[in-house]
Amino acid sequence: MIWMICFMGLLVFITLIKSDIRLSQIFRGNFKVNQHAYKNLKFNFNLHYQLLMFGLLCIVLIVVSLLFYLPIRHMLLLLGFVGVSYPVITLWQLLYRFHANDFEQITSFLQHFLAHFKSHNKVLLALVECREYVEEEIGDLLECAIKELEISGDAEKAFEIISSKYPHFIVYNIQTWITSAELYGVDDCKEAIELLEDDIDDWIEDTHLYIMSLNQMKNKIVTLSALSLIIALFNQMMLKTFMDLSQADVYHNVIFIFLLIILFTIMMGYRFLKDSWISKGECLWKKAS
Amino acid sequence: MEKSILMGVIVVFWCLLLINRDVLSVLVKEKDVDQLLKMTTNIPSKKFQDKRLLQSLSVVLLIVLSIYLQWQLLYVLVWVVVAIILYKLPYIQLKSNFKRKVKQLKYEFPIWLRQLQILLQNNTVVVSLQHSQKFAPEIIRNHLAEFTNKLKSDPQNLRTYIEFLEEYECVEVERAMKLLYRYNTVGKQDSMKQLNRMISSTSKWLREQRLDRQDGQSQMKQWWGMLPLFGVTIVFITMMMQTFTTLLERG
Repeated sequence: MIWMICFMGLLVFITLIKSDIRLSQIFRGNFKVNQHAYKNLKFNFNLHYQLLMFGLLCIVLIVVSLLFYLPIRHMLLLLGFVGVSYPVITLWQLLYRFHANDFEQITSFLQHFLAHFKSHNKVLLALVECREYVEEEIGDLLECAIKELEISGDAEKAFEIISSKYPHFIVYNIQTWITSAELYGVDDCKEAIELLEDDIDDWIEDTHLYIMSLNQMKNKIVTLSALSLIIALFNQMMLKTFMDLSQADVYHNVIFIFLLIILFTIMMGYRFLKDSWISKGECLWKKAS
Repeated sequence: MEKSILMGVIVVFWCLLLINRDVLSVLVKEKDVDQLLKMTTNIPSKKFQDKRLLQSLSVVLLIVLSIYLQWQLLYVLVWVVVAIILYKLPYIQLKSNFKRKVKQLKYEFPIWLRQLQILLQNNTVVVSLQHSQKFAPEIIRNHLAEFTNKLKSDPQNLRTYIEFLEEYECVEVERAMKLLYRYNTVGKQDSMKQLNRMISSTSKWLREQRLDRQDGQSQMKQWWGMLPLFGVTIVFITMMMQTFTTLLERG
């Protein structure tokens, strides 16, 4: 029975992680692809910290298992599940930080770009001045756009380098507007710049609100999981007076399933936060939409 | 004897219905089926109705089987209900597809409209519409080509504007198109006022749709919070059952 439960748990676990972890590579014994995923997200690996965290998790799990009178085999299987879940949760947290940083970078670039463009109406100058505000990937994109603009002199083509990476409609609108504004001047269309600035502000505000609500949801899920653990513990105390729990197989299996449910629910809470902050629904300007 | 007569009458009636499917189709067809089919799939209305009726009538034939096997009246009623459900199900699916499309349109239209407003800063209405075609959302793209062609031949006709995406029966789209018409027809000074009005209404709409979508996503995810509570309920029930079993075993 326990192996069947483990198999089912494994299936659920694979479903949860398959979009982020390349399992086919792991089964072939190639761990490098997945290691790169951590490296790309700038994972600062600190062995002492990781060992401490994992050790703490193990202690918590052992205490919980002892409180529920779980036999050693169940305890070890649970430790195994937690052991493989921990790196995945770490990856999701890294993804969350990466997307947060990416969003901050693109929105602050767009805000600074519009502010500079407003003052001197030149795309190249605005791009060069924005270079200081951004870093990492978007910084490289900006370098490419500046080079393209210097070579071809085509503002649309240069900005396309950025909009192809960030196909959000606001980025595309900025591209459309600056292209015509540089050609025909901005005297007749000053309202557009305010409109674009307002759109960016709304975008930032709405996204932050949404992410905040997701964070609150994650906390709520963790709290509810802890609460259900406490309730189960009270139930178990009640049952303990009637029977010897260390010998009840059905009870062990049910508690094992319950603890797996708790683990997967907590994982789901973290999984909600791993997606990009730039909504796919608003990236309509991809030709493939 | 009565059973055979009843079965014979039902079979004859069933054959009549099968032969006169077209008449039956006219009688039972919902008013908006043609419109819904046009907006969601390219299946001809006749084919769609025929398939529904055949499915439904094949279940009706089971009534004869129920009478032959002397099943209760309840079974006959069940087959009738199943036949009605089978007939109605494709229509319900069609309707939900249409609703989904309208929802998608309501979300994507203000985004496209915002692009149009940006293009309008330096271009005329027709040129802006032409420019926006390339990256317009798929749901709008085909209608947009038709709309632009109509505008080229008759740019001052209000009907052309109102007819754009009118199949989706979306009030917000109609209002936006009326504002676009006003922008195109009034003098230059007034046109800026009209454009600004359109911009402010689009801003509200855009935000509303975004927040609505985010809210929907959050609400779907909130159900995951119930899973640990469901788990503890299972634990509780199992423990209670174990307690009872132990108590009964002890006598």
